[in-house]
Amino acid sequence: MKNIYKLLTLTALIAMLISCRKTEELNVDYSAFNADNPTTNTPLDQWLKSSFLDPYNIEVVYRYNRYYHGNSANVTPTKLENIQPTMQIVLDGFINPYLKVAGPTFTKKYMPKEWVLFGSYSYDDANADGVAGTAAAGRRITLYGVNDYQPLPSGQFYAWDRHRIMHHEFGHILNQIIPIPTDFEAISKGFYKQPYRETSTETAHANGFVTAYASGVSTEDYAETISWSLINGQAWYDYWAATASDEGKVRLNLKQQNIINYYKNLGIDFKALQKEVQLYMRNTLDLRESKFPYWLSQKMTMTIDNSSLVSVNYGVSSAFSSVYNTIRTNVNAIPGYGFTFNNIRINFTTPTTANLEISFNQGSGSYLANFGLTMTLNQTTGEVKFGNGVAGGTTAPWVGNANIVKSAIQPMLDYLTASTTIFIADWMPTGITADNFMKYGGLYVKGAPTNYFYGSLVFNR
Amino acid sequence: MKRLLIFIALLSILVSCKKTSYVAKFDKTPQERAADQISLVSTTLTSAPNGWIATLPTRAGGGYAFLLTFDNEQNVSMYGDLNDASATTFAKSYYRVKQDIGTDLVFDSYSYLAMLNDPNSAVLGGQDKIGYQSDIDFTYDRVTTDSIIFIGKKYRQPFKLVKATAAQRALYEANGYKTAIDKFKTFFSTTKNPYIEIVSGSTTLKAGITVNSTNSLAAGKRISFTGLLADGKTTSGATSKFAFKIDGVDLLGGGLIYQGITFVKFLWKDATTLAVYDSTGKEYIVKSNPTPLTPLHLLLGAGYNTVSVPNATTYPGWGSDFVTRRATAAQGLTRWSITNPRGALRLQGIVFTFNNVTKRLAIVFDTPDGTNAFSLTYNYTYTKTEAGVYKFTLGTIGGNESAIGGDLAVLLADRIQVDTFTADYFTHPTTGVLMAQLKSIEHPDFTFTGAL
Repeated sequence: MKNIYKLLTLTALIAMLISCRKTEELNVDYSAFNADNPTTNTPLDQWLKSSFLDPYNIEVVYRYNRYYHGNSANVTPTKLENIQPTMQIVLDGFINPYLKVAGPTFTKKYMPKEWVLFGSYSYDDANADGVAGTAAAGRRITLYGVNDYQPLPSGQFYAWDRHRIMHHEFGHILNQIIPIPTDFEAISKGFYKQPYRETSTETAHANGFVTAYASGVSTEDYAETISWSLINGQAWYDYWAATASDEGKVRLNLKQQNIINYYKNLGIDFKALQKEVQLYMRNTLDLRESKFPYWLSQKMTMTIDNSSLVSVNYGVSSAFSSVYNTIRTNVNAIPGYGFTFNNIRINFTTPTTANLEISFNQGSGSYLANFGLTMTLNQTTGEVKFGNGVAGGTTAPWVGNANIVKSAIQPMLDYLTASTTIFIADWMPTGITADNFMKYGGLYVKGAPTNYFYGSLVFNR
Repeated sequence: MKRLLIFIALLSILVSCKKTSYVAKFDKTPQERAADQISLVSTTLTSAPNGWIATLPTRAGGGYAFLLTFDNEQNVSMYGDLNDASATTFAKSYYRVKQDIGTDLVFDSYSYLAMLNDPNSAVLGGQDKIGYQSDIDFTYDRVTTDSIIFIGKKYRQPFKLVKATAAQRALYEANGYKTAIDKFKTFFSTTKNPYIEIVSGSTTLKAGITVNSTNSLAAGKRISFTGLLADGKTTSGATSKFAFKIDGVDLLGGGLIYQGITFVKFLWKDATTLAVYDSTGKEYIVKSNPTPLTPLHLLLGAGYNTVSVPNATTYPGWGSDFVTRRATAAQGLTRWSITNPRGALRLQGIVFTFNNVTKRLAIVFDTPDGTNAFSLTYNYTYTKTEAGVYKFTLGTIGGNESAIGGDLAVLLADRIQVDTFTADYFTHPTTGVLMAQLKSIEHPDFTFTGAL
């Protein structure tokens, strides 16, 4: 009986639902709608099609459409002549490194499918910061400010800045597809603060952020760390970490490691990607931070150890080796001390001074001896000329230790400071793995590239 | 209660199955009608063989004009009156017509129109991050036989396009636009105190014309009329945005309304005669006046703040009494030396600084002491009648001024403090520079001039 009631009620309910249903065909014919699809077939359009649409299914939207920038913002259209050079920058420094390192499948799958270009930056009002780029929906990157394009070399900043924006925005796009690892936010927990504008770059740096913008929120921190690692390279990143506070340095290194793991899970070698981007930055844009000579003007040490794994793997020059081996033999043979030679270092202390540091042991005690050098550095050509300098102090390494080993290591001082020798600074050894790219640098004799030495780099505060 | 429930139930049954049939108010679907309007706008724009002469006031800045041609491949080419380059270079960019809230004409690549919209103030001017408040999307409004009118999407300014004739087009292509713009600018830079006469009843008003043809956000591309009303003491003014045309200028945004008359354009009546036309087609020839139309006493201390009497022994417009007395004072000053190292005070220029609000006058005698800079300042208050007669009263003075005052009495105590004065324009007979002349009513020989 109960079931009959239920059945009746159900029947009644269904009857009510159906009873007043009216079916009417809407007859919507989408082909009759007025599509806003501006098409032209100029050489520019053909180039965009063959470079972006055909290989990657990327559409470049360069005709102004205000709905791409938000109705209230002030944005002006793009100069047509700036589109191809800008998209060439995108291709060379952004898509191609991903293509080479991450492969065509990844690149075709994840590269944003819509690139929107605008002429000016986007301003909400007279007091707002300009917006340089945005990422949306995991598939669109908007680049603003395209009217600022200039050919190189004066356009260096423009190109660099586009890469800064693109790598940042693509970081967001990857994060929109695969979330940021949960352990990332914990690294700088307690140091994120909005509005980021109230944090100075110095404070953000000390606290372990690549920029003030990164200190606002962890998602921006992630994108900024990706971007700055790629565009300015590992030397810059190591320098930035070394010149932060001790805690900041730890955080910066943890963050980069987190990103390397994130990319690894995506099947991408982040360090290889960084190397590719850096080769573009150095060879095409001539970016200061991507070239070794610039870093000789910063506080840095170069540890030269002919018995290190890198030296063994990549070889050392015979001309330098013979000097190196001579002083090793000499130091070990200083009578009455029983020294064991370890390695040598060149400490770059100011843009015009350096010193040669000899490391040796007596039993289990390790000792140093330092010898002052003058340095003339030309950052453009990379030319370096050393001369004999003055002692940098009155401590044992500069006085007592130095006196004991001076004659033993004199051949190395002679090698470095020979009046006819001009060195050229560059990343070395060539062919080093991406993991160590920009972590080793060296000098070769101008006109005699087979006479060279290199060492691992450490930046100092 | 039960009845009420039954009533509600019945009512709900009645309502629930009511069928309302949709009856279209138009014989076409919305998308068909939108397509028709897009087609109308596109066809109209591309149907003018010589292009369109367009005017566009900006919301925050002045007015601008363009010659535009549209083709079927979404190309638009234009001249504009933004600068010399835009007036002489027929620049190509893209446009498209699309459905929006209404039908939208978008200038969708960079163009002269975009320069007004550009938030980068380094491009042309305008407010940084905002520009001139001018659009690049325009919503179709209406079409007439020879014109098509749009409204700016964001800033709501009228964008009026009128078909150009073949002759006009040919002039633009022969760099005639820049020539026309330069001719208009030159007319106003060489015509002294240009004005028009407006006859109103038995009185004739003179309206002075000021033209600012720069791209300044606050004052550029604007024309102002200012003048005295019939009472001879009230000033009146009005300003309008304007844009250069090939044959004159258009006053935009409803024209320039001055004393109830709507002035709409300037046209060349002949090669050298410029005329203003009101909305009824009445003509007002632009004339020139040797001196400004507004009496000087209305402007002294309220526009013109200083009268700088030059360092000279005699000068055009100086009366004989002033020349004699200035020489006496200069001689007397040489007895004095104030600074170290000691020299002798040498009378140079004299600057009269007026303030018409506080009714104060400062007379500063530039009297270097040998090689050291030195000056004497005498402060006065003054009254001025409606007719412009000044009476000066000495205020508190400093120690040096008091001590040396005796030697300046020939100028100050005997004349400035006791006489009454009028002020008028004076044109330098050789340089043509406009100056001020102050005249003593009691001593007609005591007159002097100074730079304004």
